[in-house]
Amino acid sequence: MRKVFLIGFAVMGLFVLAIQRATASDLEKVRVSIIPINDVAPLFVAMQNGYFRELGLEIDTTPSAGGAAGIPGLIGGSFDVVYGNVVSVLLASQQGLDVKVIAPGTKVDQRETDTTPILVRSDSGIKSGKDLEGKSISVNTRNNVIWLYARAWIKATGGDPDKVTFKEIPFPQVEDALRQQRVDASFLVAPFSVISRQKPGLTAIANPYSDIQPGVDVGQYITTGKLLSTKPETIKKFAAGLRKGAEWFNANRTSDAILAVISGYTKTDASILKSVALGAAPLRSDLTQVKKTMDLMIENKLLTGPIDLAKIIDPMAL
Amino acid sequence: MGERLGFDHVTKIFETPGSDTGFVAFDDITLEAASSEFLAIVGPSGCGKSTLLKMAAGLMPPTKGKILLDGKPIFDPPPGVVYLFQQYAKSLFAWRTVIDNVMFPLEGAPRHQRGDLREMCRDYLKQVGLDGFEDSYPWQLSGGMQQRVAIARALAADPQVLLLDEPFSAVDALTRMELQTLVLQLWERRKFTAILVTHDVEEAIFLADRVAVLGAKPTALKEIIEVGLPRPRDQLTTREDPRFLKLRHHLTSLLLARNSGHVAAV
Amino acid sequence: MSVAGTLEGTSRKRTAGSNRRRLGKRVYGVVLIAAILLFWEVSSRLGWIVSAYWPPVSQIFQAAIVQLAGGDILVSLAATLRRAAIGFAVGSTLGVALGILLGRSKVLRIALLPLIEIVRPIPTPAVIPPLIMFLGVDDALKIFAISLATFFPVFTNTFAGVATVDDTLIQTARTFRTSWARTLLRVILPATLPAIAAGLRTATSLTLVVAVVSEMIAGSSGIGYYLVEMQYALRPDLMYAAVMYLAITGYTINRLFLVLEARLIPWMGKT
Ligand SMILES: Nc1ncnc2c1ncn2[C@@H]1O[C@H](COP(=O)(O)OP(=O)(O)OP(=O)(O)O)[C@@H](O)[C@H]1O
Ligand SMILES: [Mg+2]
Repeated sequence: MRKVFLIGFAVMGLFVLAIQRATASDLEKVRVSIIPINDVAPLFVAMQNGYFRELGLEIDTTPSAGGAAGIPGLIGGSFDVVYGNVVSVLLASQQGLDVKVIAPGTKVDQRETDTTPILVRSDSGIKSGKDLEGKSISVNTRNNVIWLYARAWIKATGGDPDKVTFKEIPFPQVEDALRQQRVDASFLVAPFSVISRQKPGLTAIANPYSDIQPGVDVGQYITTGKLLSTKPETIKKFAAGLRKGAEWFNANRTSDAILAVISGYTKTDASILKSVALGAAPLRSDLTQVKKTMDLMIENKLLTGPIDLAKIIDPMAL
Repeated sequence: MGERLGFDHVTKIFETPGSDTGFVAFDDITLEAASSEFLAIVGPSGCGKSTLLKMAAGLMPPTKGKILLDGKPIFDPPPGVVYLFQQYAKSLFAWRTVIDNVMFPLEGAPRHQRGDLREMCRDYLKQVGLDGFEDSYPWQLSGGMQQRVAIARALAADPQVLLLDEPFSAVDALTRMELQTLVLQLWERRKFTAILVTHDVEEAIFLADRVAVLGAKPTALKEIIEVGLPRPRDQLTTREDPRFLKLRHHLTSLLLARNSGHVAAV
Repeated sequence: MSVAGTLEGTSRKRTAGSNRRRLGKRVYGVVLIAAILLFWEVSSRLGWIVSAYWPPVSQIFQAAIVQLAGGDILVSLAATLRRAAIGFAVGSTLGVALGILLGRSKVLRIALLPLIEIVRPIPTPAVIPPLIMFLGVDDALKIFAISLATFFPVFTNTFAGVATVDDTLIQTARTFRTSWARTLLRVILPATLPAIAAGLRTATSLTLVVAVVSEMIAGSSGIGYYLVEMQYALRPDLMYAAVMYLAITGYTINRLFLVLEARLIPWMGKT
């Protein structure tokens, strides 16, 4: 019995050790939470090209599949920077969380590279939001950016979003759900939106971002106000390195070199990635675009009232 | 030498839900076992024999009165007083081997003495006729053998007072006689004070120096009888002794009278 | 599968006759599994099911075998098992300790039982997102969640087990003047072991589930994250291969547990 207890204590010791992290490097470590999708390619470009190292930073990325862990992890101190979408940032801010946008992440401003369509079965006859009334549409999560623009599109095309059933289906499962008639329409992102149309039967009827709000700032890199005041230099260096990565990305986004980078962190086959067009990475956040999103959120009751955007979006992002 | 153990005006009342007075198990009992005496207590089932013995062992406090060990009142289980349970099978540790069960009372001893103590325990097991079963588990043994393990374990605690609660009630008649003889031999050798509770009149006479008779409810001490049969006692000759038969007649009629009210039935 | 098979073989000694009968019965199980796999293969190859997530079984087995030569699955599995093991150890140690202490101490029972009863019905996955704020997204969070999931079945079984310990055993310890602490360790704990073992066995499967789920919610390593990652990377062959390894692991752990139980608690069910 004594042995059992000794082992118990040893295990608890290990537990404590496991929590402590060893840092043995001259470079300053920046922990970044990412979602392993095309959108964060500029960050990985900057890492691989050594832009951060030149500035004395070491980037430690933590992928989070759904992105759900991002902002809570930022507030909890697990991350220094988080890639997140505009709606999450505004929601966090409304909840009184101390979030600050320090760099733009994703912008949809060219229809040709907008790979986020609404898909329906080709034989369904659905063409507009009006047609969707009494039917169902899938989003990955309710009350997020996808949900918001799906509602906006339904309304813009003559439908009442409240008469459409919203179902939560993870992106990878959307194609099966559509084909098996478990849902009538889906707002889908790349590469799934591209892959699922390679076999016949599914059609894209709209691109809500391009249709509703061309130029929408979908994704941002955010940090906390506290970090911004205690380590302003670090954050500035991060934004600078990232911007350099975005510039390189924009110059090379049609080359095969970029495919290798993305394949490296998404684990997706380069052959699949090749079929997905890459949009240009934004270099600056656009306050008017964020304000439009905010107004949409108020209209859809995600926000109770306007937020002072100047307080959330740090000048370094502009 | 065994120590004196006495009940001094002992009353036990069990609190029962729904009754303010509670259940009076027995009222005002005064009784003493002399040093190294073998005292038997007989009484009908449910009259409070186990309760009496548990109080003597310090496992249960009396409601009124005192339990005295060599004249000093006791509260918790005192050193040197060992209670041998009526449900002996349940009192053995199933996860320990026979020898480790017997070692249990000695495990508080310093580490360097353990080897010697283990040898001693082997010797106790030999005394109760269990050599060769040291490494068996209790559940691999027969009922009689389990009771022997319990006895060996009680001996290991080096008792000054041994309290035996119907120790042989669950074994067959032959085993019962063997175990009675064993206990008598051990008692004669070790000279502890023994208090035996039983409802078997013959067993009480065969083993004891004196027999205390408890009556039915409300339980009180009815009579104390001197046995006076010569020792060493023998399962055959002692039981055939005319004095044995006379005592048996007397005690049985006493118990039956308490129960049914007509002695003529004997 | 072969690992589990040998374990089974050594765990019990059987006569040749019963062995043959067992084998006979086993054949039905194998045939059923083979039939399902065959159906899977055919349905995928012939395109009965049009889905990017329905690869032929042969492709999955191939992916699984390639992974044996060194790949992310085994590394991920190791990461998951490490967390699961630590969480299991912490949760079950606390579960046993508190189960016994609360079982025997009225003061502790009054102080702690209401808290435990309130936390118990909360499904562990539900507490992961809010806990990220306090514990971050790394091992601390996952190990905490795993410990929590392990704790409850172990605690509940231990606590109930203590209540059923025969009073005679406790009184026996008293008559030999055994101290409170020694009674807990030497009498109550071993007497409760069969109940504890039942709790631990329930906990093992739960432990693995919560380890995987926590990695799916807030993961960057481990088999749970790997599953989601492969799903998003459109690699269903690797995803199912990971599921297969997970199933084998769960099965092996359960068998191992039964063998250990029979070895270490031989008096189980015998009093
Ligand atoms: N903890 C308790 N609470 C309430 N009543 C009790 C308790 N323990 C015993 N009693 C009652 O006290 C009486 C005496 O019980 P006890 O076990 O001492 O009898 P006994 O003479 O040993 O009987 P037996 O010969 O059957 O062993 C019984 O009527 C029993 O119901
Ligand atoms: Mg009794």
